[in-house]
Amino acid sequence: MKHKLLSFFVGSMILTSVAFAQEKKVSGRVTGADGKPLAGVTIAVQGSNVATQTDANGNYSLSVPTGKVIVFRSVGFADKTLIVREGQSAFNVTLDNSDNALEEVVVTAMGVSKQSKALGYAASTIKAEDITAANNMNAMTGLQGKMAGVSISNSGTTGGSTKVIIRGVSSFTGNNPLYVVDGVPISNGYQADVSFSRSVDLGNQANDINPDDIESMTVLKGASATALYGSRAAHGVVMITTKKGKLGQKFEVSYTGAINASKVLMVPQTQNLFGQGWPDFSFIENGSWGPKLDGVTRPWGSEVDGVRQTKPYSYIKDNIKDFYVTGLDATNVLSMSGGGEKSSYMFSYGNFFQQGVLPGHPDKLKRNNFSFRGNTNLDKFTFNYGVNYVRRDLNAVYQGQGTSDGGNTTFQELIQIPVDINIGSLKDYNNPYNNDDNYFTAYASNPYKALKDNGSRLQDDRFYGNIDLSYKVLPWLTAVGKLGGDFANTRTIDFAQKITYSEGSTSADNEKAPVTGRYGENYRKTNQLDATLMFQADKNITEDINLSGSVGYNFNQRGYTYLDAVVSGLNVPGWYSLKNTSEAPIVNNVFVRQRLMGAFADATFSYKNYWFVNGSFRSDWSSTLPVKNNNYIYGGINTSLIITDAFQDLKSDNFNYLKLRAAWGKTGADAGAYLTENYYQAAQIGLGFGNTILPLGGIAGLQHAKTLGNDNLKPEITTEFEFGAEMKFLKNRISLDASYYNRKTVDQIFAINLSPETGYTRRTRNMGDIRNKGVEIGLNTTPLKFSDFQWDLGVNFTKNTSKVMALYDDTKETIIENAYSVDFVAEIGQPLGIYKVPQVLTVKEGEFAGRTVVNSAGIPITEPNTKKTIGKYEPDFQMGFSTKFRYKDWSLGGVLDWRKGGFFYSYTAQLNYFVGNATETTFNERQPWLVPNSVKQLADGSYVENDTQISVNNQYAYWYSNTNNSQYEKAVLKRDFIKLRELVLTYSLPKSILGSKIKGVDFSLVGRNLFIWTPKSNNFVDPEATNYGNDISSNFGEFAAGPTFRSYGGSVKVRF
Amino acid sequence: MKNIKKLGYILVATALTFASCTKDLDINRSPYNPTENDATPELLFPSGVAYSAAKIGGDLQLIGAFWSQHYTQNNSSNQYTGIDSYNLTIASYNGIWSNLMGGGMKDLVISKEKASASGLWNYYVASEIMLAFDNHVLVDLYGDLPVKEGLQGDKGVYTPKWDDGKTVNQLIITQLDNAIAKINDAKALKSIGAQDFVFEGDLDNWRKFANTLKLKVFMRDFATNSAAITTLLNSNDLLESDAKMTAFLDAVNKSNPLYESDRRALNTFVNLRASKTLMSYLQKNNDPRIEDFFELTTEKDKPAVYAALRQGDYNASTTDYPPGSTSRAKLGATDPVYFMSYAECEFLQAEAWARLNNSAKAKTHYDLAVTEAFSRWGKSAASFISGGVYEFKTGTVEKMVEQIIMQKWVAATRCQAWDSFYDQNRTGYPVMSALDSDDPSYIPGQYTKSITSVLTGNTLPRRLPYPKNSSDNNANTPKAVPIGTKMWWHKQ
Repeated sequence: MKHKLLSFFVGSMILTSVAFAQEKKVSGRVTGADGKPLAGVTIAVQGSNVATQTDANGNYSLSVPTGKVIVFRSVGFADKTLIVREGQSAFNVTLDNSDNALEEVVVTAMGVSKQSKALGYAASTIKAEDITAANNMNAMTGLQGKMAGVSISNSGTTGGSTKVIIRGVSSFTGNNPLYVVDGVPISNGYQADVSFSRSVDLGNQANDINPDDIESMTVLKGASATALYGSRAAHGVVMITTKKGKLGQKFEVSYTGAINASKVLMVPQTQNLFGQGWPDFSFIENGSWGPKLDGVTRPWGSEVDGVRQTKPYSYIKDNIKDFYVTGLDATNVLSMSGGGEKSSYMFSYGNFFQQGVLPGHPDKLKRNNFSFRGNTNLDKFTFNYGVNYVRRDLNAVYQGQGTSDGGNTTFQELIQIPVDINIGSLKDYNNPYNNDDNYFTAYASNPYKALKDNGSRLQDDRFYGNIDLSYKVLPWLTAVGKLGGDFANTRTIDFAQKITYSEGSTSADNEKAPVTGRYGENYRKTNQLDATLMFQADKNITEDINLSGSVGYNFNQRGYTYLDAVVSGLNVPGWYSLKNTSEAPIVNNVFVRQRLMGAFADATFSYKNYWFVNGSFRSDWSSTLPVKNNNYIYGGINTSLIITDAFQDLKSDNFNYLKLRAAWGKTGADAGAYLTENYYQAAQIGLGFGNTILPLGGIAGLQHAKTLGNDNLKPEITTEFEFGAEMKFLKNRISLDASYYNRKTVDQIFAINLSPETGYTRRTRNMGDIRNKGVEIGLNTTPLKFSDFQWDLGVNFTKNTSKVMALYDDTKETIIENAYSVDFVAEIGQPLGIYKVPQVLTVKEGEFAGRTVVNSAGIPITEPNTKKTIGKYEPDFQMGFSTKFRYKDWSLGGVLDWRKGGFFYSYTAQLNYFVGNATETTFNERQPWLVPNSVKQLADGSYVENDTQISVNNQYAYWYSNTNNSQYEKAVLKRDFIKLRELVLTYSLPKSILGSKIKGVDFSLVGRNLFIWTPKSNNFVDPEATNYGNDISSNFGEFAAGPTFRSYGGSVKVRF
Repeated sequence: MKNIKKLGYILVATALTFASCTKDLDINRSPYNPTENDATPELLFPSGVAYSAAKIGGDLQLIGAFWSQHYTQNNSSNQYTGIDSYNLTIASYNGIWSNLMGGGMKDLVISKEKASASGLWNYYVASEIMLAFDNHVLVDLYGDLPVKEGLQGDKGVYTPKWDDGKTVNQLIITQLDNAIAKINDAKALKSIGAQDFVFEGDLDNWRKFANTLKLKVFMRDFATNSAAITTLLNSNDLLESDAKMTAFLDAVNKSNPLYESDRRALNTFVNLRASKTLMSYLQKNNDPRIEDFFELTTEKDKPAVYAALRQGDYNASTTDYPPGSTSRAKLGATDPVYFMSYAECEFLQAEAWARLNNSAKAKTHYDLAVTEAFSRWGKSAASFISGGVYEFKTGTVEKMVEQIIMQKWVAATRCQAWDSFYDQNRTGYPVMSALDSDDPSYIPGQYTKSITSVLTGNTLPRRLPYPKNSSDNNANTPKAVPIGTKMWWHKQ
């Protein structure tokens, strides 16, 4: 059977090839708005590498397959695109000076190019120059503040991940979009330790892409737009089209070099009235609960050989800020491209170097990107390919609370330094006063030493690429085969110094816990294979009606394996090896593989090129769902109508364009691997802290997995409808694009909590109903325009409102993330992700009803079992403002990002209250005060007016959340911020200076995140910093996360 | 048209290729995860015991040691302030529940079921008794327990009903009888050996353990069960050795659970300090075990002595109590976890005989118990029990019980502090003092109000609140009960 099928296949290929029609020769003349011919205009066939240029008279000719889009492009003019139809051969084109052409072309799902006006859904496209304008080292960061409906955040740390959330968080599990490069999905694995104790963010794989390689990036947001990608596209698709060489193009070299300096953006503001002590002055305290600062020079710190150092007991300004140093990043990208008659090629090399703002630069990223892409056109065959090799080396430091084997983390230690101790004076950690033995406090460690003592290293070698083979079966029918592969080998190590204290030292005397040290290695291989076979058709049925579409099949396999070993407790300090232990290392091996197969079809009907209806359909078979019901169907339908084309009378100079669109679509997400069955695992028992791990005394143990599998899983389904309108006014000087969407995500695959008395703690099941409604508005204007001067101003506005409609069974709420007593909760009827904190106990009834109950110290008692809701994490809205001034060869652009509303958890704030560094802790100058409206309870249960003031010695107990639980509220801060994302001044050398050899030279001065504004109550941290990963939990907040930074520098771009 | 036909062939061919892929999709299990066949009682039973040891010898030992006033929270650190001030909520220490019910106990159930199916009666007996023991520890901690419907999540029971404490105790007795009935079948098999962390496969010891546990459970309702108690006392079939797990090593992830958590994994290891309640009693009586329970002070330029902090006085300033100025609790990496010690068994018998008003037998067992409690630390009790401060004095039942429980309370230090907490609830000893432990009239060894107690008056904690991870997910979880509320078997 197999043999026969194969022969059918080959036979049909040979037969069909005979009957094929030739390509169409297209020619014409290109003129400017003034009617004069334009020379040197590039005319390229979209999605291929066929290109030519106009001659001195503006004439051109080239061969174009019908149904293809051709793009006319010239510096200083807006691109113009046309679709070559059967029977058309002459196109005379007028290029407009600047305002965007109406015939914009967008790459849609499965790499199909469509006219922008044919789309019945929102798709935002961003061009190369906007992505790289501000010297961004990764592509997605370059989008910040520039696109409505897309929320992009960086974790903050050097080499850390970038989170992209499209139209709000809708799932309890994965919310990141699918990344597709040149029609083939790439991996976006995220490597990190996400935990409050010892966390590190080693970045996500989408950050590996060289931003300079990108020609354009289109974000498909809605379900109708992404339905063709089925199970993987529930959270949007980022379609990346890379730069290519062009046929007939002369050898061209371009170089971009950029260098930026960076500085810490925001550090906690400390109070400046009280110094070291708790509450009396003490040499060893890690907090500022001591006496008032008086400026008198006194001894401080540890005694070494019977002597203490002296210093004034006074406030140190900019203490934390001055701890950080100047970081640096540098980019060098060289690309070469060219093309012959049949083939073209492009080679690029990018070298990216970044070192962060930490002293001694233990945070460092090196990335080398090599890419080779090419294209060959042979008669009916078109062959496209791209191969990329990325080498990434990252040194990262740990964040969070620290562990007994991993030691302390710098960021937590920085917070625990009294405001009168100069952090800079601790820098020499070999100095006997600053070393592990004699560091001034026994309760924290030297932040400089922590940088050296523990960290993580990552080395990643990654190959990814794609091969595309298309064959013209019929004039209107093309067969396309695509193969993509993405393979990475990653080695990560994790190390922490062993620290012990000398007998008689301050640390030993004060019972400081030693650090046992640790070393871990992880070898990981990740892989992805993606193959698509499809047929694409494009046919004019009548003069007015065109039908186009595709039908195909997709196979996707993803997986990873790793081998992990760790020794906790080193024998010899400083020797980082799995051999440096008296115990066997703890090892783990993991193998994960999942497959997804899908058949899909897509059809677009167009009438007179002003009314379009598109439908798409996909049927998926997923290996992660139970075999008995692993097949599911998705689909979408959308339509767009160009009112101004249908009713030409409406069109005027003031009212240029109106398009209405509507879409409905359904996409889904399959399960993670291995959730359908119960299984067993090696016994590892969590203790209060640490673990008991079998084997013990040579006896091994197995335990049942605590999560119950589920062989009735269904895919998670997102259904969405959206409406939108696009308008242009005043000769296209104003353009407006607005969308409204309403999406519903049900049957989320989530391991819900089970009550442990069932024998299990979680059970994977379908649950939940999350709604996201939102509005996206993009407004682009050109308020001023003269021959030499132009001012562009753009605003984008995003408002997403989520609501939890249902969870499961009778469950009203479920905890997404938690730290101490702060819960991040999904509660029915509320937005997804609200904060709940302990509240003060109030009298329930009687004459004192509603009043706060205090304890014998006058401190409010906590309501034991109910918490209060503070609010949601989600901003009320976010707005991006971008502006650009152009004067002759100069341009100045800026991007401002404003996120209004929402909250986040900050351990940094919590710890600042604990140690008495928070500004609010100076309330009443720390003199006794009475909690307003409070009562105390007598032994018989009755209440009386409270007359116990909070004493001087108990001020800290009031502000400390452990002794006054209602203070956890202080750890939930307002998330609002305004950031000046980009400020770019560019000077392009005039053509008159350049001569004929050099095509362009641009110089830019660049600033990124120059300025941040936060509400008064958040004088602690940048709300964007997080060490809770890059998905739903990352919205929770930060736990002694590393700081974000501002950067400024310059770049030069040269093209030969 | 011909081309269209050929195209059709291609599509059919493609479709057939996909159809054959069904097998390629049946890959949804990890090759590295053990399957149902791999998980034998030989591997599950050790996990079940280790889980019990980890929680009972870890979290419960910790809470028990605070609430038995052996230890108190250090003043220059703050890890356990919630326990010491009785400020625990439904969310506190839920790990006990999730790791026993949602962990080791289910492993024991699976072990038992598999053993029953394959006739491995030795594993069956040991698993069932260990399970009964866990039930006993939990029901005394929480008051009620979902025994009948619990531990059946894999059978679709997601919201089991809870059983009241009295019923649970009956179920425990049934479980134990059920296990004892299979001992002879079990003896016919090859010994479990080292897979048995508690008795190395000695089934006679398992039977004795089961009998002693029965005695302990019956003692919760002495009046009702006095006949059964008498039978057990006369059976000569109670523990003569410790039921304990000793497999711990001085290595990461392998040591005694309280030591591992408090001394190795926590990033400060000075939290556990001597409580004045116990220390004053040891000092008054010159009890030599003080050196086994506590470390000498380490304050710089000061003599190394034994010194304690008042119970709950963790807000004391570091000027008054500098680091190292009080004694830290002594813990060992290889300390065993005691499920039931031989000393406890003798104390139980002593108390039972005392309650039966047989003072001679009470004294015999009391002397054996105290002797064992001393010799556990390599010390002789002889001078203490013969004419010494701990000599048993015949008196009223209550007076005899008080002496027995006081010594049991001391013996429980660094051993079964959680059980001492249960005993105080049950018997009221040590008694609660109305005075501060700094008061000159304070009688050493009497409980004092925790300085930072959040409970009204002299209320002591009597239970853990029903855990939040249960009540959040099971509508059948009983309504919250305040932490100071007594249970039916407590001394009212």
